[in-house]
Amino acid sequence: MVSVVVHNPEWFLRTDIVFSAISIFVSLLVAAVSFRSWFVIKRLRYLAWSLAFLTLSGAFFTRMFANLVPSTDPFYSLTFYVGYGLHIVGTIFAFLTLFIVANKMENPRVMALFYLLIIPAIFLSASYFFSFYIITTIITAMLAATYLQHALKVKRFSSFCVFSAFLMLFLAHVQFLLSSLDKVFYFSASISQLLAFVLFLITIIKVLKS
Amino acid sequence: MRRNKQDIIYDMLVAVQSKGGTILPTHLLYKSNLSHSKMKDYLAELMSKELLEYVEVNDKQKIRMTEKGFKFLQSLRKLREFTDAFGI
Repeated sequence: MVSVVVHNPEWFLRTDIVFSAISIFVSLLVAAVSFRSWFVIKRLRYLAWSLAFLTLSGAFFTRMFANLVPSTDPFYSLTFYVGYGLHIVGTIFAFLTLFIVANKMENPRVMALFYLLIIPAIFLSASYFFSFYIITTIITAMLAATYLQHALKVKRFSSFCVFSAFLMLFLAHVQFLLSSLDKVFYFSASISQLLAFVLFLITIIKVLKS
Repeated sequence: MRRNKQDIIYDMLVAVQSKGGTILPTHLLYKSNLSHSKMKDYLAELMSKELLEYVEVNDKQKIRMTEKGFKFLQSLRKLREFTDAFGI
Protein backbone atom coordinates (compact mmCIF):
# COMPACT_ATOMS: atom_id res chain seq x y z
CA MET A 1 0.00 0.00 0.00
CA VAL A 2 1.43 3.32 -1.07
CA SER A 3 1.04 6.12 1.44
CA VAL A 4 1.49 9.87 1.43
CA VAL A 5 2.38 11.17 4.88
CA VAL A 6 2.65 14.88 5.60
CA HIS A 7 4.12 16.09 8.87
CA ASN A 8 2.74 19.60 8.66
CA PRO A 9 1.82 21.13 12.05
CA GLU A 10 -1.80 22.38 11.92
CA TRP A 11 -0.90 25.82 13.29
CA PHE A 12 1.47 26.28 10.35
CA LEU A 13 -0.99 25.33 7.57
CA ARG A 14 -2.05 28.90 6.59
CA THR A 15 1.53 30.24 6.69
CA ASP A 16 2.64 27.27 4.59
CA ILE A 17 0.15 28.36 1.90
CA VAL A 18 1.67 31.87 1.88
CA PHE A 19 5.18 30.36 1.62
CA SER A 20 4.02 28.23 -1.32
CA ALA A 21 2.53 31.30 -3.02
CA ILE A 22 5.88 33.12 -2.71
CA SER A 23 7.71 30.08 -4.16
CA ILE A 24 5.24 29.96 -7.07
CA PHE A 25 5.75 33.67 -7.82
CA VAL A 26 9.58 33.42 -7.77
CA SER A 27 9.60 30.20 -9.85
CA LEU A 28 7.38 31.84 -12.47
CA LEU A 29 9.67 34.88 -12.52
CA VAL A 30 12.79 32.71 -13.10
CA ALA A 31 10.88 30.77 -15.80
CA ALA A 32 9.87 34.03 -17.51
CA VAL A 33 13.42 35.47 -17.52
CA SER A 34 14.82 32.17 -18.80
CA PHE A 35 12.15 32.03 -21.53
CA ARG A 36 13.04 35.58 -22.55
CA SER A 37 16.72 34.52 -22.76
CA TRP A 38 15.71 31.65 -25.03
CA PHE A 39 13.78 34.13 -27.15
CA VAL A 40 16.95 36.26 -27.59
CA ILE A 41 19.44 33.55 -28.59
CA LYS A 42 17.27 30.43 -29.15
CA ARG A 43 19.52 28.11 -27.14
CA LEU A 44 17.55 25.06 -26.00
CA ARG A 45 18.99 24.92 -22.47
CA TYR A 46 17.28 28.25 -21.60
CA LEU A 47 13.95 26.76 -22.68
CA ALA A 48 14.61 23.62 -20.57
CA TRP A 49 15.52 25.81 -17.57
CA SER A 50 12.31 27.78 -18.06
CA LEU A 51 10.28 24.55 -18.30
CA ALA A 52 11.90 23.23 -15.08
CA PHE A 53 10.96 26.32 -13.07
CA LEU A 54 7.49 26.36 -14.63
CA THR A 55 7.01 22.73 -13.54
CA LEU A 56 8.30 23.62 -10.06
CA SER A 57 5.72 26.40 -9.77
CA GLY A 58 3.03 23.94 -10.90
CA ALA A 59 4.22 21.44 -8.27
CA PHE A 60 3.93 24.07 -5.52
CA PHE A 61 0.52 25.10 -6.82
CA THR A 62 -0.92 21.55 -6.68
CA ARG A 63 0.35 21.13 -3.10
CA MET A 64 -1.05 24.53 -2.10
CA PHE A 65 -4.40 23.64 -3.69
CA ALA A 66 -4.47 20.30 -1.81
CA ASN A 67 -3.80 22.13 1.47
CA LEU A 68 -6.59 24.63 0.79
CA VAL A 69 -9.32 21.98 0.58
CA PRO A 70 -10.94 21.51 4.03
CA SER A 71 -10.93 17.98 5.50
CA THR A 72 -14.78 18.07 5.58
CA ASP A 73 -14.93 18.36 1.78
CA PRO A 74 -16.22 15.12 0.12
CA PHE A 75 -13.35 15.30 -2.40
CA TYR A 76 -10.72 15.90 0.28
CA SER A 77 -8.97 12.50 -0.06
CA LEU A 78 -8.92 12.62 -3.85
CA THR A 79 -7.65 16.22 -3.90
CA PHE A 80 -5.02 15.41 -1.29
CA TYR A 81 -3.61 12.38 -3.14
CA VAL A 82 -3.75 13.96 -6.60
CA GLY A 83 -2.33 17.26 -5.29
CA TYR A 84 0.59 15.68 -3.46
CA GLY A 85 1.15 13.09 -6.22
CA LEU A 86 1.51 15.83 -8.82
CA HIS A 87 3.70 17.82 -6.41
CA ILE A 88 6.07 14.86 -6.00
CA VAL A 89 6.35 14.00 -9.71
CA GLY A 90 6.59 17.69 -10.73
CA THR A 91 9.28 18.53 -8.16
CA ILE A 92 11.45 15.54 -9.10
CA PHE A 93 11.08 16.26 -12.83
CA ALA A 94 11.98 19.92 -12.23
CA PHE A 95 15.05 19.21 -10.04
CA LEU A 96 16.31 16.54 -12.44
CA THR A 97 15.93 18.89 -15.40
CA LEU A 98 17.82 21.61 -13.49
CA PHE A 99 20.60 19.11 -12.75
CA ILE A 100 20.81 17.98 -16.39
CA VAL A 101 20.91 21.58 -17.69
CA ALA A 102 23.33 22.82 -15.00
CA ASN A 103 25.76 20.00 -15.86
CA LYS A 104 25.33 20.63 -19.59
CA MET A 105 24.41 17.02 -20.36
CA GLU A 106 23.66 16.59 -24.02
CA ASN A 107 23.40 12.84 -24.56
CA PRO A 108 19.63 12.09 -24.83
CA ARG A 109 20.11 8.46 -23.71
CA VAL A 110 21.84 9.56 -20.47
CA MET A 111 19.06 12.08 -19.83
CA ALA A 112 16.37 9.44 -20.47
CA LEU A 113 18.16 7.07 -18.09
CA PHE A 114 18.04 9.70 -15.31
CA TYR A 115 14.29 10.19 -15.67
CA LEU A 116 13.54 6.49 -16.10
CA LEU A 117 15.52 5.43 -13.03
CA ILE A 118 13.81 7.85 -10.69
CA ILE A 119 10.16 7.57 -11.68
CA PRO A 120 9.92 3.80 -10.94
CA ALA A 121 11.86 4.33 -7.70
CA ILE A 122 9.03 6.58 -6.55
CA PHE A 123 6.15 4.40 -7.74
CA LEU A 124 7.59 1.11 -6.49
CA SER A 125 8.44 2.55 -3.09
CA ALA A 126 6.28 1.68 -0.10
CA SER A 127 6.30 5.29 1.06
CA TYR A 128 6.04 8.28 -1.23
CA PHE A 129 7.21 10.51 1.58
CA PHE A 130 10.58 8.90 2.27
CA SER A 131 11.48 8.01 -1.31
CA PHE A 132 10.51 11.51 -2.46
CA TYR A 133 12.55 13.41 0.10
CA ILE A 134 15.53 11.05 -0.13
CA ILE A 135 15.62 11.53 -3.93
CA THR A 136 15.17 15.33 -3.71
CA THR A 137 17.83 15.54 -0.96
CA ILE A 138 20.32 13.74 -3.23
CA ILE A 139 19.51 15.87 -6.30
CA THR A 140 19.61 19.18 -4.41
CA ALA A 141 22.94 18.16 -2.81
CA MET A 142 24.32 17.51 -6.31
CA LEU A 143 22.90 20.84 -7.53
CA ALA A 144 24.51 22.67 -4.59
CA ALA A 145 27.86 20.99 -5.37
CA THR A 146 27.56 21.98 -9.06
CA TYR A 147 26.82 25.59 -8.14
CA LEU A 148 29.59 25.78 -5.53
CA GLN A 149 32.03 24.86 -8.30
CA HIS A 150 30.42 27.40 -10.64
CA ALA A 151 30.42 30.21 -8.04
CA LEU A 152 34.10 29.61 -7.23
CA LYS A 153 34.90 29.77 -10.95
CA VAL A 154 32.79 32.84 -11.83
CA LYS A 155 33.21 34.66 -8.46
CA ARG A 156 30.15 36.88 -8.86
CA PHE A 157 27.56 37.92 -6.27
CA SER A 158 24.68 36.43 -8.28
CA SER A 159 26.42 33.06 -8.74
CA PHE A 160 27.01 32.85 -4.96
CA CYS A 161 23.31 33.68 -4.46
CA VAL A 162 22.31 30.77 -6.72
CA PHE A 163 24.70 28.41 -4.89
CA SER A 164 23.28 29.54 -1.52
CA ALA A 165 19.74 29.03 -2.83
CA PHE A 166 20.45 25.42 -3.83
CA LEU A 167 22.26 24.84 -0.53
CA MET A 168 19.18 26.11 1.33
CA LEU A 169 16.98 23.82 -0.79
CA PHE A 170 19.21 20.88 0.14
CA LEU A 171 19.01 21.77 3.86
CA ALA A 172 15.24 22.19 3.52
CA HIS A 173 14.84 18.69 2.07
CA VAL A 174 17.04 17.15 4.80
CA GLN A 175 14.76 18.81 7.38
CA PHE A 176 11.62 17.65 5.56
CA LEU A 177 13.00 14.11 5.95
CA LEU A 178 13.52 14.69 9.68
CA SER A 179 9.98 16.02 10.10
CA SER A 180 8.83 12.43 10.67
CA LEU A 181 10.69 12.63 14.01
CA ASP A 182 9.43 16.04 15.07
CA LYS A 183 6.98 18.39 13.36
CA VAL A 184 9.19 21.38 14.21
CA PHE A 185 11.52 20.22 11.41
CA TYR A 186 8.70 20.79 8.92
CA PHE A 187 8.57 24.42 10.06
CA SER A 188 12.37 24.92 9.87
CA ALA A 189 12.42 23.17 6.46
CA SER A 190 9.75 25.55 5.16
CA ILE A 191 11.79 28.54 6.40
CA SER A 192 14.92 27.19 4.64
CA GLN A 193 12.92 26.64 1.44
CA LEU A 194 11.51 30.17 1.63
CA LEU A 195 15.06 31.54 2.06
CA ALA A 196 16.11 29.62 -1.06
CA PHE A 197 13.39 31.30 -3.12
CA VAL A 198 14.23 34.72 -1.64
CA LEU A 199 17.82 34.15 -2.85
CA PHE A 200 16.50 33.23 -6.33
CA LEU A 201 14.45 36.43 -6.23
CA ILE A 202 17.52 38.55 -5.33
CA THR A 203 19.39 36.95 -8.25
CA ILE A 204 16.59 37.68 -10.71
CA ILE A 205 16.28 41.30 -9.49
CA LYS A 206 20.04 41.68 -10.08
CA VAL A 207 19.66 40.21 -13.60
CA LEU A 208 16.76 42.52 -14.43
CA LYS A 209 18.61 45.60 -13.12
CA SER A 210 21.78 44.88 -15.14
CA MET B 1 39.64 32.18 -23.71
CA ARG B 2 37.90 31.42 -27.01
CA ARG B 3 34.88 33.66 -27.61
CA ASN B 4 31.65 32.26 -28.98
CA LYS B 5 29.40 34.01 -31.49
CA GLN B 6 27.31 35.61 -28.75
CA ASP B 7 30.45 37.02 -27.04
CA ILE B 8 31.76 38.47 -30.33
CA ILE B 9 28.44 40.17 -31.13
CA TYR B 10 28.29 41.53 -27.57
CA ASP B 11 31.86 42.90 -27.82
CA MET B 12 31.08 44.55 -31.17
CA LEU B 13 27.91 46.22 -29.89
CA VAL B 14 29.65 47.37 -26.69
CA ALA B 15 32.46 48.83 -28.82
CA VAL B 16 29.94 50.87 -30.85
CA GLN B 17 28.10 51.98 -27.71
CA SER B 18 31.34 53.05 -26.01
CA LYS B 19 31.88 55.49 -28.88
CA GLY B 20 28.49 57.09 -28.36
CA GLY B 21 26.65 54.83 -30.81
CA THR B 22 28.70 55.71 -33.94
CA ILE B 23 32.12 54.31 -34.78
CA LEU B 24 34.59 54.19 -37.67
CA PRO B 25 34.89 50.69 -39.24
CA THR B 26 38.65 50.64 -38.56
CA HIS B 27 38.07 51.43 -34.87
CA LEU B 28 35.46 48.69 -34.65
CA LEU B 29 37.87 46.24 -36.28
CA TYR B 30 40.51 47.13 -33.70
CA LYS B 31 38.15 47.11 -30.69
CA SER B 32 36.38 43.87 -31.58
CA ASN B 33 39.68 42.04 -32.08
CA LEU B 34 38.62 40.22 -35.26
CA SER B 35 40.15 39.59 -38.67
CA HIS B 36 38.87 41.79 -41.50
CA SER B 37 36.96 38.95 -43.17
CA LYS B 38 35.38 37.78 -39.91
CA MET B 39 34.29 41.31 -39.06
CA LYS B 40 32.73 41.68 -42.52
CA ASP B 41 30.68 38.53 -41.92
CA TYR B 42 29.51 39.65 -38.48
CA LEU B 43 28.77 43.17 -39.74
CA ALA B 44 26.68 41.76 -42.60
CA GLU B 45 24.66 39.72 -40.09
CA LEU B 46 24.17 42.64 -37.69
CA MET B 47 23.19 44.94 -40.60
CA SER B 48 20.71 42.36 -41.96
CA LYS B 49 19.11 42.18 -38.51
CA GLU B 50 18.96 46.03 -38.44
CA LEU B 51 21.07 46.25 -35.28
CA LEU B 52 23.75 48.35 -37.02
CA GLU B 53 23.68 50.59 -40.09
CA TYR B 54 26.12 52.58 -42.26
CA VAL B 55 25.90 56.38 -42.11
CA GLU B 56 27.86 59.22 -43.73
CA VAL B 57 29.37 61.65 -41.21
CA ASN B 58 31.59 64.48 -42.56
CA ASP B 59 32.21 62.51 -45.78
CA LYS B 60 33.33 59.49 -43.77
CA GLN B 61 31.50 56.21 -43.68
CA LYS B 62 30.71 55.21 -40.11
CA ILE B 63 28.79 52.42 -38.40
CA ARG B 64 25.85 53.43 -36.20
CA MET B 65 23.86 51.39 -33.75
CA THR B 66 20.11 51.48 -34.36
CA GLU B 67 17.41 51.76 -31.70
CA LYS B 68 16.84 48.01 -32.17
CA GLY B 69 20.59 47.49 -31.63
CA PHE B 70 20.53 49.36 -28.30
CA LYS B 71 17.55 47.28 -27.14
CA PHE B 72 19.26 44.05 -28.25
CA LEU B 73 22.44 45.03 -26.36
CA GLN B 74 20.34 45.62 -23.23
CA SER B 75 18.79 42.14 -23.64
CA LEU B 76 22.26 40.63 -24.15
CA ARG B 77 23.50 42.26 -20.90
CA LYS B 78 20.61 40.69 -18.97
CA LEU B 79 21.24 37.36 -20.70
CA ARG B 80 24.93 37.40 -19.72
CA GLU B 81 24.09 38.24 -16.11
CA PHE B 82 21.52 35.42 -16.10
CA THR B 83 24.00 32.98 -17.68
CA ASP B 84 26.74 33.92 -15.20
CA ALA B 85 24.37 33.52 -12.26
CA PHE B 86 22.81 30.19 -13.24
CA GLY B 87 25.76 28.79 -15.18
CA ILE B 88 23.64 27.62 -18.12
